[in-house]
Amino acid sequence: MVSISLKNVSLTYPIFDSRSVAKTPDGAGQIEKRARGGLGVRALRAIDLEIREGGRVGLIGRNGSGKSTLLRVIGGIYPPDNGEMIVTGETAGLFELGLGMRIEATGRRNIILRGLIRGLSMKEAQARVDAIADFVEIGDFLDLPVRTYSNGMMMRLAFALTTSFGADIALLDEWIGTGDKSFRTKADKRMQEIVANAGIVVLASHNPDLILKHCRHALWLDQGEIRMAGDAADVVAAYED
Amino acid sequence: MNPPVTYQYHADRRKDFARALSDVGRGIGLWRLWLALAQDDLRQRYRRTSIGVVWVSVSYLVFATTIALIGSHMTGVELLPFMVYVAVGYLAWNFINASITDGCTVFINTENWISGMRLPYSLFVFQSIARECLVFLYSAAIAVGIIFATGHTPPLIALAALPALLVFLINAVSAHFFFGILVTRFRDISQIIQTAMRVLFFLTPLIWTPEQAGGLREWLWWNPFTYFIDIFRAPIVDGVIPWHSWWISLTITTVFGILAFILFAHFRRRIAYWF
Repeated sequence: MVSISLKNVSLTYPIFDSRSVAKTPDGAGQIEKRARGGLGVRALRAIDLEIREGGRVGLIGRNGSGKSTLLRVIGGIYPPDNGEMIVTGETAGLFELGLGMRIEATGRRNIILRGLIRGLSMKEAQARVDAIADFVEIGDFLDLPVRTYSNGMMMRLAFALTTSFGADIALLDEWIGTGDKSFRTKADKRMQEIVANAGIVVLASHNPDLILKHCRHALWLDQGEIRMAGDAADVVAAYED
Repeated sequence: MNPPVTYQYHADRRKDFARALSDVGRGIGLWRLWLALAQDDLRQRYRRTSIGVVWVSVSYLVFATTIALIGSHMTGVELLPFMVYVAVGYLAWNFINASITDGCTVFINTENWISGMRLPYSLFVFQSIARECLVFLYSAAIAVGIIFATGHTPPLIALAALPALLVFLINAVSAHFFFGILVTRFRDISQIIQTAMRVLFFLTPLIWTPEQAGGLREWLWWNPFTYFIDIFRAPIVDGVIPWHSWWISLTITTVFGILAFILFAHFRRRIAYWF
């Protein structure tokens, strides 16, 4: 059964570029000294989270509140400093444009590479190209390097790569900004399919409307802590206050 | 249907060694991916050149011939045997050098993948080594050409160079993990290593023979690369198996391999934080 469970998860990013901040720790308490020496930015603190199959959860909060970090912890990019977590199901994350893509390679090649990542054979991966290219509507650009794509096109490709290979858990970070209306409709449908297949969608955004539209539940993050969790409408209402 | 993938992480019970082993295992399992990525790397490096990767062969040929010509004129050694000596030694050096210098940047160069997806770190190590092997093959084709063109008939014992390649491969894996991790955290090390390797090219018997080294000869035996080059070159050029060099190479390989794996196991979970 697909699920996400985090208990008491904390995470502090180390800072290597600067020593001068050491003398003037930030008043807000976000920059702190690390246990093993050096400085760190505290990104998450004692996060408890349970998401079960079919969950559509929004993470809302201001810039720097820890939304993206939390998504990446769930995606297994950053092992937390404290706490424990169990994620059952294949995760696929869309954190930032261009991550996990080769922008010098063609769109076709990127689709194939993503198939290989998901454990397909070369043949199976090639068989997926057409369906994904259709979804992305990149037409002739399929055989051009991704660096020639417009932002919107790249975004569509990134979304398709993330959601087309049968992952159970989609982790989406502010992804919908650039798509046009017809693509947003398709993306909506794709997300609903994931949830209908007993998957999970976690969506991070500072845009309340997006959260209301796509999520049943929401989590309000503030300076790395959960300020409020519950029904999306309630959390968004409290956040907007 | 496959059972769902489960990712578990407990900060107090990290199981570093088991995770590192499973990382390497999953990395090997993704062989289709790293072979494809290695090809893409080369395609990208020689993008929009007319002969593409063949530039590797051309550059190798020009360098090996030039060095052999200069060397034989300066020291009076016979040109053709010296050419074989240089070609084979330089071939081995190129691979060793690449496995160390590329090893330094293996994680830095793939940051864009490491911070985007939960993939085994060993994947990028294998990608890099696969790329170096392809480069090796393009040079080796020329080396074989040089050997036969000079009329040097390699004895049957030249096959003893093949296990040396296996030793190079194992050390390449160790070097990628070892230097990859150190350099990602301490960026200066990459510059130090690059400088050291440039100097070591001249301090290793590649473009001169130990007999020509004069007073330097005593010091040669402190340079580990002397032994690694020897186990590959001696069977092809001189038709002997240098057992002494083999023992030293195998000892270094074992110790270095263990060190590299411990370092990898211990710091693997920190790599993503070091960009």
